[in-house]
Amino acid sequence: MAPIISAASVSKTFQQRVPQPGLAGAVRSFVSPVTKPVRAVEDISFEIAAGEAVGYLGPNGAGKSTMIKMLTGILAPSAGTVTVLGRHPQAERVANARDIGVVFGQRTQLWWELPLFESFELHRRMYRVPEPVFERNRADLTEMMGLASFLERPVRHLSLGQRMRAEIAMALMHDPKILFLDEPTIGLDVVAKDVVRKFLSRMNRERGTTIILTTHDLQDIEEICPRLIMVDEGRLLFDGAIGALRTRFGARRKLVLEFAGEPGTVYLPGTEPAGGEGHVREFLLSDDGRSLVQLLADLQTDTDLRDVRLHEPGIEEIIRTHYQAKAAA
Amino acid sequence: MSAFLALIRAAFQRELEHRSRSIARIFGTLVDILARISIWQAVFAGHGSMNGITLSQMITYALIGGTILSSWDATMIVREVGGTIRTGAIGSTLLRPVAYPVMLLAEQLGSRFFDWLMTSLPVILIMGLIYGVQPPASLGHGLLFLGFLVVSLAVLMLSGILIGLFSFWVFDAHSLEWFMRGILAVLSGGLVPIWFFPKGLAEVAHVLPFSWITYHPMAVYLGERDLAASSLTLLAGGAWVLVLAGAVSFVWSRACGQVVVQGG
Repeated sequence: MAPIISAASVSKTFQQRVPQPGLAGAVRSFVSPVTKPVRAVEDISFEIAAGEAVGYLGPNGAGKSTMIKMLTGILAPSAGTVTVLGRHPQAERVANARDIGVVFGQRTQLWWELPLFESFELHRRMYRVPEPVFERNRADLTEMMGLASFLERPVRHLSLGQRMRAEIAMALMHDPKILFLDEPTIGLDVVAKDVVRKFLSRMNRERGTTIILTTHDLQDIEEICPRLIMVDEGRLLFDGAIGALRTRFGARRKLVLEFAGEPGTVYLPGTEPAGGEGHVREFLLSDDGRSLVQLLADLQTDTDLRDVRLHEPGIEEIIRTHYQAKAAA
Repeated sequence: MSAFLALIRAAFQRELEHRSRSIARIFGTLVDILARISIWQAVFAGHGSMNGITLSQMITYALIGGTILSSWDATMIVREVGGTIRTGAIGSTLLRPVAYPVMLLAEQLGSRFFDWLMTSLPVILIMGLIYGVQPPASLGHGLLFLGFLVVSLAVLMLSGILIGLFSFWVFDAHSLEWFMRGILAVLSGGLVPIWFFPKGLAEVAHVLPFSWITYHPMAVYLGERDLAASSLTLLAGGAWVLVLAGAVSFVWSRACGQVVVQGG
């Protein structure tokens, strides 16, 4: 299928003012500012097909938001091209805006002073949503996101969780083909996060809405996005299925064996001992295709096994390993 | 169009949320108008008329020119645009499928209409009862004045948006705001009618678009010009509106490429 979003060798450079030391320096910089280019996004390429849910992940300052801003038409790339639904988002900002939905976790799109339903009404008019479509969406979204109890309340009186649910509902009122979310769960409590995640993954499955989500909460990605794009310092680090991330960054599954007594030194062929004390021993597995049963058949010890647990590394762990390795290098 | 009207309505409604601000504004305007009238009373003391203008005409000028045709609050838009850029809120505004200047226009119109209704009207009523307010010079002048009202509003809003858009290049919106405030207070004829200006300055102020904000509409209202001359002035004002609208759309097209969103 043809991609609905593509980025081809996209870079974005900002001119940042360099502060000069001292008063004389400040005056000099006032008269003729010295700037230096800062590369927020560097030569990134990817394609996203309709109906995908993609997590865009990276630490603070990795250039995630900048990429979202280029895809939503707020910023123009310094080099390379972005295409969304066959358009250049910045040049055709208004047309692009009509076909996408955007939620910025740290900014509001709602009208602060007005009751929530008024924001929806304004949204309908600005996006020219036909009345029946709007009525259906409003009913559905109000129900799914549980907005009914505060529709009449001014937005400034809503809690963060309520506001976030409202933001997401509003971004979907015009049936956008693509939904961009920049840190949608930031600052939410566990329950609210769960509601948002379940809802997004349902939208993706049932309505086929393409979802691009930036976050640094890895659980967001684990629950919503089968595909992951990872960036750091503006560069693309990884693009693929979450499962492949494990192989790519060498995170291995861990086997935890619990014995009936103190087993002494335990040797398990094809694995690497990874510590453990008392009755417990841990081993790192290599993905060599052998099953757990085969592995355990080779277990060389006289002590009886009481329990066997297999620990799958979460992406959080994988990524932590990666950044630690980078910091150490 | 329906989006535009809805945005105007939203801005109007938003003002309704600030009750104490509206009340404070009525009092502020009352004091302002009172001061203007007192000044004109002092100036006219002992004179029946100056430059062919009577005191009671000047009171009407101060009353209407200082309320519905006032340029003072319109500079708020400059601060607002500057604020959205400084805080990065410009990002979410640009996500909407409406051109930014159009959104700004709707927003300003909404709060302007609110001001007319909740500040100008009560102030004119109260002060009119005390000091008297003249009706339009004739029915024709009255009708033309309505046309001037539209031009005045358009010139005021568009110059506000135009200067506001410069915040994309100049990050300090306050300097722009004070610049505009000063220029408008003098050149609109809001403080002192242009017929009292020294000759050279009067000639310049006469043709600049700002004099259509307060001075030209009031001159027509008071019947200082005949209907034919007034109609020509109205047309010239309409031309200025087109020029300003063109300038706004040009500056906006350049500003789009300038967008830097602050704060991630």
